[in-house]
Amino acid sequence: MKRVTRFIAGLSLALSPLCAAALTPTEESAQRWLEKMAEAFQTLNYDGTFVYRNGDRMESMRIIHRASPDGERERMFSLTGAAREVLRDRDKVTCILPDDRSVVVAKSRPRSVALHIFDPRDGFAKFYRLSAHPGERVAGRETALVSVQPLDEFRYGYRLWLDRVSGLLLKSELVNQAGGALEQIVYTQIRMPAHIPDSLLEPAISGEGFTWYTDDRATGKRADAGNDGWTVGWLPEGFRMSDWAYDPTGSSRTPVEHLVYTDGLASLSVFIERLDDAKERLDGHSSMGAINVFGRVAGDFQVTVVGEVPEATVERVGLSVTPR
Amino acid sequence: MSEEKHEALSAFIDGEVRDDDGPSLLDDVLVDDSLSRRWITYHLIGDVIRQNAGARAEDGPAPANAAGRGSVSVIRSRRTAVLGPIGGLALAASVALVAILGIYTLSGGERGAVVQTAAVGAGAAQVPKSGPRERTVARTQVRTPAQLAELARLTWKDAAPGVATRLNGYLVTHNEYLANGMRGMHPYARIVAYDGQGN
Repeated sequence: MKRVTRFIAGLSLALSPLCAAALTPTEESAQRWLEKMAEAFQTLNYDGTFVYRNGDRMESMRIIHRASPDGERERMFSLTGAAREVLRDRDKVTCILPDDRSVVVAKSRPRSVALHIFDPRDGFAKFYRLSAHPGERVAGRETALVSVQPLDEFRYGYRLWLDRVSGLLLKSELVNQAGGALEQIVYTQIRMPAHIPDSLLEPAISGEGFTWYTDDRATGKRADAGNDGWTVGWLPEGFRMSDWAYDPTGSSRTPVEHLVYTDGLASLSVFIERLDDAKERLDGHSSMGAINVFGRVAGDFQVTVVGEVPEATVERVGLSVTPR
Repeated sequence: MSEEKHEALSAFIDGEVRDDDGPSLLDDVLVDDSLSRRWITYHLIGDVIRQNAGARAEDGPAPANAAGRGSVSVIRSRRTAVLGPIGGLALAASVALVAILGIYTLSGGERGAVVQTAAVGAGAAQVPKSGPRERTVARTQVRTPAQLAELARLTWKDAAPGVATRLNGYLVTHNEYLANGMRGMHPYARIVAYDGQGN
């Protein structure tokens, strides 16, 4: 896989003290909590049950996460509704979707221990206002509440309740600029065992007879794309390219150009895929929960923008994508 | 715990929560010990129905390759709420008995009613060509091709089935590239949550 990684941890560390001086005490406190949260998710074993709510839909799920020197393994599955499961290890992500009898397998990416979120050199404070407060008890544990409020209409905000001891995220809300909750996750119970056996990380449902979408096909070459590349003409302020790839995705037989942009917290992806007559087009908007999608056809290509950002943001980004 | 809360929780477990019940019900479960216990009990019932008889709730569903042959591995039942906890336990017990005895129910009449399954190990990335085979009775997952197409369309709002399939792949890929901060917020919960029953 060809990939360009723009974050340079060394440079970040060198500049952090200078920029961090501009943060208020409550912002510094919030930043420390967020860094502790990110570290906790990568380095702790945990096994919990949580409720996911989006609008009037609520589902309960269980997540089991094991961290080890060999890499992380994670299993998430639904406790209500269709028995969907997502399994993740250091090589791949497997999504078992029994309700539509399909399995999607994608390559997983290594999760860097180096923390890039809220990197002061990104000018994070220009786009979000951070604050830390005492939080309510969640799943029987004391929490700290971190509020991340967007300062423009191009991104969402967050309210995060973090376990005071471990830093694990026990409750979260994705909020619009008016403060309304778009999505919510609340743990009802969680434990952090010293050991998690392999058996708890194996799927409970099977996939034979299902349609499998895998990305184990050969990676394409840049010259195969049949174009000189694409450029994104508009992005919300603060968004920078973090990755580029030219690979098959789960359901595509041909490689797809994939550009990833992030402001350190929110991310959006631009996918450009050559169309053939058999492929259905997406012209306009779609969504799944707080994920918004905008697609349009540009010549022989389908351009699709995917991100947990407002509908207007994916549309504006999508309309600005042009061939070089 | 009031009967009203009890009924609201039962409806939620059955995926039939009312619009205005959501936030308050979550808060109630967090602070009300009896409601929390009821929550755990319901999940234990669900686990048993999913072929986990004998498993503790905190142990979760048993893996497919450890569940024994002929497991009833994918069952979504709305009978639990209709029958109530006692009826749910009775149903669970009967399901477990069927699993233990290895008696397979073959509907035979509807396409896809019996799904040939094989273990999806953590290391597997392709459908195994051979190996242990199980018969899985997938009651509510049994759908015609037309129903499956409609499900895909519903999962992604206003998307044609072919587009929805492509978007599933895009979303999985996108999730892997999220900034570290977002990873902590379980982006895959969206995929697990959406079963095509509405959006």
